[in-house]
This record gives sequence, C-alpha cells and structure tokens, in this order.
Amino acid sequence: MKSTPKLLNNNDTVLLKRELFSDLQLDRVISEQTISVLQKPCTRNEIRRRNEVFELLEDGEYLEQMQNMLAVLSAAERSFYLLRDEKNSLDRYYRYREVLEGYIGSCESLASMSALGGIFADVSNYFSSEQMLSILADMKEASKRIKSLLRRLHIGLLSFSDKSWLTPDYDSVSEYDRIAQCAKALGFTVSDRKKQNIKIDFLLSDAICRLYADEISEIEAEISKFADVDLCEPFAYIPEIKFFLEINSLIKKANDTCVPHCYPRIAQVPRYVAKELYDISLLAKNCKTIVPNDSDFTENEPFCFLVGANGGGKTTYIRALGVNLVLFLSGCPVFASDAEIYPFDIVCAHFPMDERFDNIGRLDEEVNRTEVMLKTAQNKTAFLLFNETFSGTDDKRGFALLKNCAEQIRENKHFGLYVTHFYDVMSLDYPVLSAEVDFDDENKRTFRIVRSKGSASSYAMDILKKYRIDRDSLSVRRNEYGN
Amino acid sequence: MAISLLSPTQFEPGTEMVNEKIVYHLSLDRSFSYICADVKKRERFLSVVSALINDREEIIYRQDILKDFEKHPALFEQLSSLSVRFEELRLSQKNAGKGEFRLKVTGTASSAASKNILQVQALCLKRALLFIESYGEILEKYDLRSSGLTNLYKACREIYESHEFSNLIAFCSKYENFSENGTWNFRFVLSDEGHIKEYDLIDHKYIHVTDRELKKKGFSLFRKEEDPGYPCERIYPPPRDGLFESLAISAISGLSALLGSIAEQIFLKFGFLFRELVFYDVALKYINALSQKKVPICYPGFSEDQNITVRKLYDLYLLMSKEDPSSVVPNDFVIEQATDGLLVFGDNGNGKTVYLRSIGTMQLLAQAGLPIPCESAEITLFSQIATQFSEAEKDFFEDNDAGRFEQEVRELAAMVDTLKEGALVFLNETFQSTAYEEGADGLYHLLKYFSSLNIRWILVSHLRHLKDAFGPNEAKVTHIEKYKIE
Repeated sequence: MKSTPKLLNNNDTVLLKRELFSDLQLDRVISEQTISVLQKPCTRNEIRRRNEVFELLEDGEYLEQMQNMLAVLSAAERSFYLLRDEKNSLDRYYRYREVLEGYIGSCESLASMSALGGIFADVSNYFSSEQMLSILADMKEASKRIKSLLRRLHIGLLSFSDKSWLTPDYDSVSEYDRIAQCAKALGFTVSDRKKQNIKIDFLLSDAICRLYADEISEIEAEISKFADVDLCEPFAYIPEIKFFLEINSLIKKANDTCVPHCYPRIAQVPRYVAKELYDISLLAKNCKTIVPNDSDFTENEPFCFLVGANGGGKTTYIRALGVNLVLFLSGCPVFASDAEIYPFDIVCAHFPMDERFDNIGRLDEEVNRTEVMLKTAQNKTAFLLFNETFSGTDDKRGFALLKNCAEQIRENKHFGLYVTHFYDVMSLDYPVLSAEVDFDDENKRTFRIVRSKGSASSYAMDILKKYRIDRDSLSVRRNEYGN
Repeated sequence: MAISLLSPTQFEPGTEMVNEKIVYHLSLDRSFSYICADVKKRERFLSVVSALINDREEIIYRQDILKDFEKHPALFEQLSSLSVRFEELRLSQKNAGKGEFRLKVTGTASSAASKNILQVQALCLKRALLFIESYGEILEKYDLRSSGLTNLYKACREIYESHEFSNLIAFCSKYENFSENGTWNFRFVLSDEGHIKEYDLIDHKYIHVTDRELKKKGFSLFRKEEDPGYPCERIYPPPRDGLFESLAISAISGLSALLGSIAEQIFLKFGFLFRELVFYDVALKYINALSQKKVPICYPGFSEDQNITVRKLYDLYLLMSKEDPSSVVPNDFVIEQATDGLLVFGDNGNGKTVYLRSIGTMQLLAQAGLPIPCESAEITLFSQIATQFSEAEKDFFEDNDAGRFEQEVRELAAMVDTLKEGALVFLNETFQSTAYEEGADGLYHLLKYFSSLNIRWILVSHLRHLKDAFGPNEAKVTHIEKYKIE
C-alpha cells in the first residue's frame, strides 16, 4: 500500500524561528499547533493551493464539512488513546470497537473531501482506493459482530452475601420499576431515573469475561484480523485540518471587528505592497477598532526606518507587517484590503528581549543576535524586522551600530523595517516613516504611519496639541480657569 | 389533582386577597380573638376569609361541608386529630430527605447509612398510605351530604381499594426491614460504551446460582431438588467497597428517592386537610359562640338581581365583646338593584361605624361560606371589597411626608387604580380632616366615578349636604339615631 499522502507540503529547508511568533504576538491568537505550520513557509504553488482551500471554507457548507471531518477524526483519536490506556479487559473490547468505528468514519470522511480543492485530491483518492475500501468493509463486519457479542453480556445480576456472584439476567424487573408500576397505577407520577455513566472496575470486568468466555474468545478472533492495520493513520491530518479551521476562525473574528482580508497577488519580483494592513494580534486584546496602515516595500525602496513618539503605533505597524507576511508565506489570507507580496525566503525579527543574559550585557546580546540574523538571511530574499534594536546604549554608539546594520542590509538587498527612536536616521540616505496623529479621526488619539516630513519637531507639537498642553492650549486653559 | 375542602377545584389563596387592613377596619381580628384563642389558627382562618371568593358554587360547597361538620361533630374531631398526626408524619419524612441530602453534601454517604434512610422512607410511605385508608374509614361511617367530604372519601377509597395499594404496602414493609446483613441483589445494565448506566436493587427470586464448590463437597442427608447448573461466576475478592459500595449507595438512594417522592405526592394531595380543617375548626367555634349568645344564625341566600336584603343584622364585634348580647341592636340592611350606593348620616356616637362594620363583616363572612348573625339574608356577591376608614396620621416614615388628607387621597387613588366593576367599597368618615365643602365635593366626584364603573359603595359621613348632590336614584340615604336605622 502506498504511503499516506500529506495535506500540507511545506518547504522543509526553512524553519522560521519560534521567537518570531512571540515577537509578533501571534501566539496570543493562534495555537501552538498552527504556529508549527506557519513556521514553514511554502512555495508559490502551495500558497495557491492553500488559498483555494481558505476561499472555499468561506462558504459555510465546506466549512461545516471540514468541521465535521475534524470532529470525526478527533473522536477517533480520543477513542484510540482511551484504548491505549485501558486496563480492564471488557473495557478494552468496548474501546476497540469504538476505535474500529472511528477509523471507518475517519477514512470515509477523508475519502469524501475531494470537493475541497486540489489539496485534498490525493488524500481523497488514497482513502477511496479499492484496497482501503476492502479493509473498511471487513472492519464494518467485524465491528457489527463485536457489537452483537457485547450486547449479549451487557445486562447481569449481582448478588452479595457471604459470597458474591455474577449471573446472567433472564427476566428480572428492578425493585424501582416494580414500585414505580404500583405507584403509577395509583395515580402517582414517577420521574425517570437519572442515567448513570460509571466505569466498571477490574473485578466486574474479570467476572463478566469469565462468565461469557465463548463470546470473549470470538471478540478476540475478530480483533486479531486487523493487527496489521495502522489505526492511527488518519490522525496525522488533525493538525493540518486544525490549521485551516483555526485560520478560518481568525478571519471570522477579524470580520466581526470589521477587519477585511484578502488573498494577495503573488509578486514576481520582491515587494511587499499592501493597502490597509491590520495587526490582528490586537484581537487578543479585544480591541474594538484596529487602525490600518499601508505598506510599500519595493525594489526601489526595500528598506526604511520608522520613527515617532511613544505610543504612536510603531510596534503595531511592525507587527502588522510581520504577521501578515508570515500568514501569506503559509498560504493564508492577509488582513488588508489589497496586497501584492513576494514569497520571501525568510522572515527574521529582532525585538527587545527580557534582560536575562548570564554573561553579557543587553547591547552585546543585541549585537550578537543581529549578526546571527544577518548571517541567516545571507543569500536569501529576506524580510527583516528590527524593533528598537541598539536602544540599550548611548545615542552615539547605538546610532553607529544601527548605521552599520542598515548598510549590510542595503548591501545584501534585503527588505525590511527598522523601528527606532534615533531621529538622526533622517540624516541617512534611507526612506523614513513616522507615526503622526491622525486629525481626520475626530481627534481621537490615533496615529497613522506616513512618509516623514523630515522634521523631528512635528511629532512633539502634534502630541502637545492633542493633550492641550501646547502654548495656545495652555493659554486657553488659563483663561478658562480664571473664568 | 389535589383535593380541597375549601373549593371544588384546587384552593389557591391569593386569587383576590382583600387588603389585610380590611380585617383590621372591620375588627374581624378582634372579634375572632374572642372566638378562638389560638393565634395561628385564627390567622389561618382569617387568611381564608380574606381570600375573597365570589363564586356561588364555591360558597355553597363550603357551606355544605360546614353543615356536615355541624351535624357530625365527631367526624370533625376524628378527621382533625388524624390530620394533625398526618402533618407530623409529613414533617418527619421531610427530615429524612434532609438526612440524605446532608450525607451527599458532606460526602459521608455509605450503603449502611443509605439503607437506614431507605428504611425511614419506606416506613413513612407505608404510614402515609395507611393514613389514606384511615381517612376513608372515618368518612365511610357518616351520612355525608356535602360534595367536598364525599369527594374526599371517594379519593381515599379509590386508592386503598386498589390491588396496587396492598402491593405498595408490601414493598414498604419489605424495605422497612431491609437488613444490612442479608443478601443484597442488584441488576446492572451496561451502555454501548461499556459503562454502567443502570444499577438497581432486585428481588432475590431472580438470582439463580449453582455453587460448584458446594457441589464438590456436596453430600446431604436429604434429597434436594435437582440443580440444573445455573451459569454463574464468583467475584474475587469479595467487593466490600469502591465501585460496588458507591453503586449500592446510588441504587438504594434511588429507591429511597422513589419512595420519598410517592410519599411527598400523598402529602401534597392530602396535606391540605391539616390546613383547611383549621378553617372549619374556627368556623365551628364561631357558630358555637353565636349559638351560646342565642343570636339567630343564617346561611345567606344569593339574589339573582343584585338586591341585598339582610334582616336584623348584628355586629359581630359587639356581640363577642359585650357580656350581654341583648344590648346589641340589630339593624336591617337593604339596597335595591338600582341603587349605586348608601349614604349613612348620624350624629357622633349613634352607631354609624358599627353599622358599617356589621355590613362589612357580614359580606366577608358570607362570601367565605360562613353563616352570619342575622335573621335572614339574601345577598349579592362582590368581586372585590375595599375599605377606607378615617385613621390617625401615620407615624413619620421614609417617603411619607404627607398629611392626613394626603394619606387618604393616596389610599383612594390606590383604590381607583385597582378596583374594577363589581366591587364594594366601604368609606368611613372619609375626608373629615379637610374643609367641609372641599371634602364633600371631592367625595362626590369619587363616588360618582365608582358608580359609573358599577362599583357599589357605602359611605358613613358627617358631610350631610352630600345627600343633596346625589339624585334620588343615585344613592340611598339613611340616618342612624341611637344605634337604629331610621
């Protein structure tokens, strides 16, 4: 039999660092299992194949189909682990039947997924092959037989006195039912008994197996028929299906907050151009409104600096860039109104870390990390993100290190963004973005990332005005106070 | 369905409760304090009186039961005594339920403790069932005329003459003596997942065991019946705790709950007797007190045309409070169909309020199914009864910054909000604290409003020129002098 086909064909040569997802705070909105998928960027073709699935899932019918499939697979997996941990013989037979049913259900479900794009075609074909259908038919027969054998022993009588006995039940009526019958005949109402769900113990299991020795050996014979079948096979698809469903649910969550999404055009030359790009990691904070920003990284201006006041949304912007790029590289939609992105080979980020370095200081650690990052990106089409790198030293030294880093980036033709509070970057020959107050937004404290006007003082004035502590505002306040 | 001695259907107090103030205004609480010293009984009785009924069938239903009890005093005594013991049993059964709840909550449940509770529940149910039989046996002895008591007898007989009644008693006897050391037998049912979904006690007759160990040793002096060799297996080691203990607790508790629930239904169905017989107890005492005072007693009839004619009506409070009842002056109370209201004038101390009170008391007691102290009575039934008696100013309390007049206005406004067609209103010296003309004018419009809604009214007042405001057919005007209506 052929080996099981995969749903997701990742590029195994590149593995994005796990820290990247923490820096981008994606791990707050996405599970670890899905992050492990996002860590592996994929090829143009794979991006298209996955895009196709996500687009189909936006149709409720396909989504329901996939959710059902996940439910079937998860239930089957649960049964399998219950069987593995089961100690009592009788319970094992019940669990084994559940595992057979789970396997049959899983295979049939996977076989029926051909409508969900090319990605599912191989899987569907594999699980609907003649060989597989023959196994499933035998399994159905065996499961039915085991069920009927187990039904023979599902009622019993126990008698406890000086000796404890188990006997079969022929025609007993419980005392509860006999009394209830009398009560009903006299016009009283009797409520239904609460159903129990109690696991049997070893003693009872052992006694039942001894009492029904013939049935048990028949069950054993049925089980032995499938000793060579790998019953775990379908479970490999669970994380892959979860990936699609989780991203789909992220889309829905974003839609609820009026955040749009799109399937970017795959650029032929390196670029990262997007309109209204959102940082959806803010969904984890239950933000009611997320301010979007555009991105415009092309071969002409592949790298730029971002400066601005604290709280001006610089980190949000860098995260928006990183999050959406990572999503794009894994074939997911991006949270923007329109985008054209090149499938970069690698994405690296340098965000401040907690200061817990044993032998070296913060600056040394940052220098080391930057070197490793640039080395990793060498000879690749990389997108690099720097957030306040080299801020842990004096302005002069920090700026020198920043300048050196920027030169290496330019030399290697990398793409990227460098967020910094060193306003001297305006004197360098690089494009500079800045976070400025958006006065169109009813004077709420929102910022937009715009191409810098080249004057550092403008940010300060905006913020002073906004909080009414600029000269004019303070003058007005004085008058108000006097009155 | 639960039976009731207060109503042919199920008695539900609170359908149209008269304001407790009415009981106070009409001095019913004081009157009955002379009749029944037991405060609880008196309160229960007055609460039934306050739950106004205006259904003629329902009133006759009560009257007939009361007449049966008047005729057979021993019947009432026996039923009453039995109902007290039945109530005691109900309380002890309730405590047994609490015991089980405590075991569950404190996690101290054991099969032995559950068995004890099962025994108590079985005993309670058995006694409750036997009470039904006793009620029936008592009622069977008397020639009953009332449909209420006859229905009660039928309901009891229907239960205890059934074959299932004996079966249920037999089950109770069995579990009353359920022994910890005897054989405990259970039936289990496994679900499709192989878990226990049912676990119940069963009778030992269903257990067929062939002990192969005994067979090996087997020798007997006596010839035994041939053992067909039943399939069975021993459980090793003998399970005394763990799963089997918790399952035993669950099965025994389930059975206890079943017995408890049947007993509760019996208490619910027959527990009313204890409460409702209190009404008849006080009613009988009331009849007895009137008889001792040698006052005429009359079960009122009901007029078809809204005429009210009561001859020689006595004021109950005066009758009860005075040593010599002969000094109490009876008065007639007559209102024709066309008359909307009655204006009662008279000088202070001439008995205006007593007259109003006697009418109010009469109306309430009559609508409760009780006889009234008068020579004859044909009355009309009212859907609501309300009173507004001039009172002292209320003590200051929060949200009450109103003066006496405003307080009265508030009360009348509340009345206007709640009273509907078919009500009867008693007004005693309303608006006496305001200017004469203003009070009269205010009252006039209020009374006219009542009349327009077909709400009948009786006003005792010193505002004499009100009589000129009303036309001849709008209100009947009466004067009272030296306690006598003129």
